[in-house]
Amino acid sequence: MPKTAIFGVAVIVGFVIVAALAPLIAPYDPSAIDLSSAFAGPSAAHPLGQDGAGRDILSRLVFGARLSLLGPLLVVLLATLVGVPLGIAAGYAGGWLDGLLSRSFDVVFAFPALLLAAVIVATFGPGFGTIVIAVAVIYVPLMARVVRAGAIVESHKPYVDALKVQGFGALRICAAHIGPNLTTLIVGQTALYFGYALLDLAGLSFLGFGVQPPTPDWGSMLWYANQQVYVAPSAVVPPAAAIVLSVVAFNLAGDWLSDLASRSGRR
Amino acid sequence: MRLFVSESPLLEVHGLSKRFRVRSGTDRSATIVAVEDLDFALEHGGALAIVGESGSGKTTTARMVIGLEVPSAGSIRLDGRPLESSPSRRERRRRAREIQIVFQNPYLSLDPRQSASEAVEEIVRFHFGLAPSAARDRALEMLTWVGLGPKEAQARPRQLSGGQCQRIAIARALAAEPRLVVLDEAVSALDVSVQAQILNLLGDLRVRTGIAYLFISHDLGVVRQIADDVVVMYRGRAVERGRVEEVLDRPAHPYTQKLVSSIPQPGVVIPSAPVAREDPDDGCRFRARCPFVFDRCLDEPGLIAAGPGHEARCWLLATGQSDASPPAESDIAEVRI
Amino acid sequence: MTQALLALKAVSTWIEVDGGAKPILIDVSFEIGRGEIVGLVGESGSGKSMTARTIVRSLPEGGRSSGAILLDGEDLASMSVPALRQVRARKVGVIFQDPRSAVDPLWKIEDHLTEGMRVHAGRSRDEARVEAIGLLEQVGIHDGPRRLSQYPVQLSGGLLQRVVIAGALAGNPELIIADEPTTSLDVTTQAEIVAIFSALRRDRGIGMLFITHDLALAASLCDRILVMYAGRIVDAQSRDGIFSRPGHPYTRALVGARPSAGTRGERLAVIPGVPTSASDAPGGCAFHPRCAFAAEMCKSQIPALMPIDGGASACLRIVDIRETLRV
Repeated sequence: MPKTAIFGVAVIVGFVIVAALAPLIAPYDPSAIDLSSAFAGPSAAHPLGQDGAGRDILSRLVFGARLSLLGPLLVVLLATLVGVPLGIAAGYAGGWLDGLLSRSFDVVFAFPALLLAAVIVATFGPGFGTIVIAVAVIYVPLMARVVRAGAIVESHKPYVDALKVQGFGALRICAAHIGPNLTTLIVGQTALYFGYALLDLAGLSFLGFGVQPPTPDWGSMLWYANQQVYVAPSAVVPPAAAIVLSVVAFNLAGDWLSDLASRSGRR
Repeated sequence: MRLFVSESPLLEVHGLSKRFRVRSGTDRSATIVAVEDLDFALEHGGALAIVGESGSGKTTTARMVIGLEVPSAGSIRLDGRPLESSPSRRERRRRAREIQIVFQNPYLSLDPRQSASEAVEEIVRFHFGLAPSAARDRALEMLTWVGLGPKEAQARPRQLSGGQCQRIAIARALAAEPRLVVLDEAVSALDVSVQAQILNLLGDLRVRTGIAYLFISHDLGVVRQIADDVVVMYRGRAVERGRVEEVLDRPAHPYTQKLVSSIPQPGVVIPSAPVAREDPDDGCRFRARCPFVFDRCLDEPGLIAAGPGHEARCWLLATGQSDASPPAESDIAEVRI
Repeated sequence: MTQALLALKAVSTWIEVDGGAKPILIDVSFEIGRGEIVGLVGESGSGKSMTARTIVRSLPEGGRSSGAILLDGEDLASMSVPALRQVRARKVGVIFQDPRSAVDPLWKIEDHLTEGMRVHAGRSRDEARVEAIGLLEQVGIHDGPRRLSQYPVQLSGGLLQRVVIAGALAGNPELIIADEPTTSLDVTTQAEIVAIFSALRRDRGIGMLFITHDLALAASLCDRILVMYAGRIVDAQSRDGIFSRPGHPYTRALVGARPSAGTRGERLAVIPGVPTSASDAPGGCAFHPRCAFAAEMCKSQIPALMPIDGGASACLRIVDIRETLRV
């Protein structure tokens, strides 16, 4: 396993452990307010300092890992569960179904992602669930388009003809044969999307659309810190670093996973 | 061995045609005629070869027989019973118990994720409803029929050679117990030494099960080895047909003669003809490349008798024209080097 | 004795993979005289295509070769890249199996043919055009002006391969290396292409290495035939000799396995097993597991090419076999 992949996986595992054991690791209650120490810089008691409401940044970072990692997981899950079947259907069926689905995807792509997210947030109000849905709406057609291309290639191979000749139904062919042959492709995509979804979610939170205080989340921490950047510039660093680190880690791990998968698929 | 006492042939094709509408940049809706007015019959347990080069329509014909393409016109009858042109899934399932197919590419015609045994088991379970263990036994049995052992049965296509993969494809085709197997260039992608093994296998299987073959090929040597009868196709039309020895030894149609003379012979090179003008869309389609073309060729000939059970689509055979034998050696002007 | 046009001396090729070298060609030596057409015949894994790539030094990632490759006395193996480029442009023409991957689909035929002329030989656009039309004539395409303005997609496979051959002739080569040039073409087109090669040799004295898996095809065109198995040359015969007195058991078996060699209804003589490559070859003679004549010594000794009866074969038992079969 290449060093970059080891690093990536280690960081991911590390963050997951931190998120899971948050109550045991965090020194303070992330929501504990102490207005007398607002914007305090790093100190012995608070290694990463305190935010505008006096809350311990380190504890918020630790607890924030939960939502910050859960978000991308949900997005990827949705993208896969909805996008893969749509993509396979479009690729295998072709014709009007493909036309309909592809045009639908195009409609989604036509909107700047941010605008779409803003509309969804305006409709449903800000919050974790809303931004997850907003980002998933973008990633579903993304996944579907890639899977569709793979499905088209598979559908033209003679083994699919051989299956049709037997009288197998489209559902069976897609689910039992085409889908499994696309796992390489899908796994590669999910790994990629995890990192980017994390970034997108953090970005939306950064803009104030996502998780609202006092719930800890890296993106909203960044938003909050950004509001007060002239007062307490150091508060920006911890959430930003956490986000960057995890995106890099997912990209590295994802690259390795894709490589592995594509090598095993090749003869 | 199955015995059939039957009057009608196993497979009968009448007036089969397939036209594709093509929408390309400049040609708004051109029609490509892949197959036009094709007739042939295959007896129970017989072996019929369809020979042609690219553009002959032989593969399209195979796909229509197996139900992967919808004919534009004509009929296909199995045991005298007409087959639906656009079969429903249930109809396909029924048809699969009668007609199966083996494709050209040994690797792409198998699901790369299935082992040999799994591929055959799936067929057996689908058509016969066997329980998993019974299906596995049957699959292993079929694989031994085609010369593959338990070790290969567990292997995936990419771990096996082309010849072995083709054996799996044959086992899979036989698993449904069909009466006819369509072999679409089934040995063309194999090494010569492996080709011979597969041809022998096919011959043995035919003797053993009484199954019929519809063999699509461009290779006259292979056709001579495995087929009893042959239909030669050019640009979608049958231009000659008859018993294999008759057609290959005494080809009546100038195209067949060209095919036969193109078989490499040691030290013989036929001088290169200048590149032909495009083939015409009417009359005899071969006339642009034919050394014997004359005025009558502007009309498309029908199939004319050239001998017992031997016909060719060429005016040369109509009484009063020159005789149907292939041109004398001096006419071809072989260059011996 | 005139110098050979192309001479390979003890050429070996291997691919460096992590932890070792995967052999592809082992100790390949042969010569092609001026105006001689030599056929290289083999099945998968024989190394025939790699021989071509070794000669023009176009090996895949990690490929290395040793031994001398002399073109007109100059060693291609030790040439610098710029010098090699000159040689590839002027002395050697190469033709591969799939014409569609040999031409840029976005370029017109004219551009494909004249690029070399304008860049290497400094011709003007009009001069190059006239030359290109001439080249097309040589390969039997007489409506040159029309074809020049077409794109590859508008030409059939056979026509495109003729264009590729015309392109290979552009530099006025002395040697053409053709790797399975007709495999993807119809059999009637194949016959026409073979005729073009024959005419080129007859009219322009161009020597040729003709690589194919089809023994009969090689015999129809080539003066001499070399048979390869598992990365080595195992048989070298003249065109007449290859069918009348094939030396090596593998050649004999190939001849017998051809469908047209059999009688209808009878089983074909089959070589059990599958062809092997140099890296998968067993010890001793690589063919011994499949050989009907294999003896104990064949499992451990590697046969060298031994001249016998007008040809040469790499078989330890060749003398015995010939006596037994009274050839």
